[in-house]
Order: sequence, then structure tokens, then C-alpha cells
Amino acid sequence: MSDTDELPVLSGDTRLAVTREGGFAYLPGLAAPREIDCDQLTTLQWAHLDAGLRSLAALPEAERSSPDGRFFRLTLSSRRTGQPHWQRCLDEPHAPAWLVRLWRDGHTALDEEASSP
Amino acid sequence: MPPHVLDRIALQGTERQRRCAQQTLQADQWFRLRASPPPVRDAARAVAGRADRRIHSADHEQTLPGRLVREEGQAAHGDAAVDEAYEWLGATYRFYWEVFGRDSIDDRGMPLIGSVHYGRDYDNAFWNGAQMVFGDGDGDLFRRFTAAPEVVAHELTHGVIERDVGLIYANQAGAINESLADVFGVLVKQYHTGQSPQAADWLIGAALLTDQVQGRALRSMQAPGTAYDDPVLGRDPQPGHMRDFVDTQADNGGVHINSGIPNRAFYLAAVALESPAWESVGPVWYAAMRDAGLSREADFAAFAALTLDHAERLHGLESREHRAVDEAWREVGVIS
Ligand SMILES: [Zn+2]
Repeated sequence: MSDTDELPVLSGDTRLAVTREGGFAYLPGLAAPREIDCDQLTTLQWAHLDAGLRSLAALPEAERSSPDGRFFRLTLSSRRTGQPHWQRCLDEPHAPAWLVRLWRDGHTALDEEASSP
Repeated sequence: MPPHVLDRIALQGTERQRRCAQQTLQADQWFRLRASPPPVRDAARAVAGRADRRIHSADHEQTLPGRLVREEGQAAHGDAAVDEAYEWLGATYRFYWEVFGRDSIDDRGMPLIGSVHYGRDYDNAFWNGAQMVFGDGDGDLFRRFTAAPEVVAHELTHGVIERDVGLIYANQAGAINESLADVFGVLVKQYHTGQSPQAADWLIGAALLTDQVQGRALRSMQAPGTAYDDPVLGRDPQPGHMRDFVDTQADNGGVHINSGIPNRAFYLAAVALESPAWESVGPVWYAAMRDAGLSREADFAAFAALTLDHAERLHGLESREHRAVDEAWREVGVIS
């Protein structure tokens, strides 16, 4: 585990997990954990993911104190060791549209630029 | 993601990662409330004992509060979500006023602000520190979240809890927070319909589920873990006893999961008595929630001890109410 909150460099061994948690209607099936393996991405998708994750640095860390408010949790880990490198939580109102698309639709959402609405 | 991965983050992560993983919630409600004070009572309209409802439409955007569509005293709007929010916020206000003499969320006549039509296909309702927000549901699994009085009352009660206790929204304290919102949610429904504890269904959000869902409701206070078992939604994960307590990082430490334990304790205490729950154990739970001795990080056992204390003060040590509360917490394994 890195000692900084800096986003680690994505490698072929990197796996991104995205979950949506919380909510009045918190049902296990709706958390829908989404896993993205970097080595399955096209060069363009990889670049979009990298830019998208870097853009998260400017967003506020989730407070998660809004009762029944939902939030997204992103975790980067090594597929080889299972070791997580980095984690970030974002309250749903602050989650960018590309992240919601990625969680909902999987890696094909990365065909579009992360900054596109 | 396997839970052990998140556990490792909690143990070995950097400071920020730990905050993220451990749900400690440093930036708490009080800070946020100070940062954006909710509207105060309009002095010209202020009448203790009368609600001041303001229903908005978010028009399928996620900007709050949205467009004001129905204010206190105005005739029905014709939009079902608007009129349900108005009606159930009114029923919740009446409950708190008539049963506990409480004048709105802050006990000082705070306007009840609700927004409906939030987002698109939005399967949620929440309290954001200043107002209540309701989605329309996706139509396949969920109907609109204003359809059930206990859901609207649940969200309003989060505001009450925030004012009175500020229970942190994580782990056992968060599960007490969730349970109190369910408890007063169903009490509003029972009071509104005049139901006895024996006749009530003790379900949360039964009216929200479409016919396509294999389940009765989102939660069952009577039998946690049995509300639904559906190919898409999964299986109701709520425990009804401490031996099944779910240790998890997800959902802020399982606040909507482990709330099944104190929910069932309330149900058991209520059905052991004949009188309406809002007269028997409802006031006991209300007094325990407002007790200055309830810490923001309270666990189930601490809350149970306070309910026993207040059952004795309100009904007497040898009372049936005190015995019912004591037996209920034993039956769910919180006290032994
Ligand atoms: Zn809640």
C-alpha cells in the first residue's frame, strides 16, 4: 500500500473495483460491484480511465453523513497479489457522469472521453 | 470485492484511505448544518401545532430543492408524488406534535421541505441535512418513494435524529440511527391508520416494490432477513439477532443491515403489549433517543440500557412495559 493518496500508475496488473453503497433502499443486488481489468482495455479506454481517475483529485472526499445518501467507492488493486493500492469514495451528488456510466455499463463506457458529460 | 481487501485498507491504508474505509465520518452533521443552515420558521406563518410544508419538484434534475409546487394550505396539485409528499409529511408532523408535543424537526416549527421527481429512474430517498428528497423509482423494481407513509416519515425522522442526537452514520451507532428512522416511520403509519401492534404489518416500503419483485417489502421489523429474495435484488441481508451481526465495510458498516436487530427488539416489545405502540414503547424509544446520555457513537447495548431506564421512568420498574422491553433486548441477544 502506498503511503500517499496519489493515484498510482495504472499497469496491466491493475484492477479497478467500483461499488455503489448506501441508500434507503440498500439492497445487495443493487450495489452491483463492477470490476475493470486494465489489461482488457483498449489504448483509448486506458487513457480515458487514467484521465478520469486523475480528475477525481479535484472533487471533495465523500462525507457520507447524509442519511440514506448513496456513495461510490473506487478501489485500485493488484490482480496478482490482491493488494489494494488506492481507494476513494465519492458522494453520489459529486460523482461525475463518466463514473456512473462506468459503474453501470462497464468498460465500454470508457470509449467516451471521461470529461464528456 | 472480497471483504478482506477492504479490511486490509482499513488496517494499512493512509490516513485518508482509512477514513474512507472505516466510515469514521469526521465531517459530521453538526459541521454541515452550520455550513448551510436550513430555513427557519417564517415568523408571519408560525403556528405551533401546524406544519409548514413546502413541496418542490426537482423536474428530474439533481439540483435541490428545485421548483416550489405546493405550499402549506394550498389545494392538491394533481401530481401524485407532490400530493403524497405533502400528505405524509403532514401525517408525520401530526404524529410528532400530537404524540410527543414536538413542533417539527427542530421542535421550533422548522419548515418541512421535500423535493420529488429527483433525478431519473432514481431508486432512493434521503435526508441531506436540510430537506427530504424522493426519487420516482425506475418503474421496473421500484415505484415512487413517496408512495409509503413510513418511508416519508423515515426520512423526516433522520432530521429529528440529527437535531437531537447526531448519532454518527456508521457501524452500530449508524444502525441505531437507521432503526430509529424505521421505528418512528412505522409508528407514523400505525398512528395514522389507528393500527394495533398486532394488526400492523411491520414492513418498511411494501408499497414501493413493483409486482416484478419477489418480495414483500424492503425490510421487515418482525422477521428481518425475510423481506425479499429476488434474482435481481438479491436476498434480504438483515439479521434479527446479535449472533448473526454482519461485520462489513459496505453500507457505512452495514447501517441498513444490522438495523434489523434493534428493529426486531422494538417489534417484540410492542407486540408483547396490547396498547398502541405509540403509547407503550414508542415514548420509551423517543425518550431514550433524546437522552443526553446517548453518545453519538453509542452501540446497541448502550441504547438498550437507556430504553430500560426510560421504560422504568415512564411505566415503572414492575410494569409490563419494562418487562417487555427487557425481554425484547434479551431475545435479540443484545443483553443477556
Ligand atoms: Zn435511513
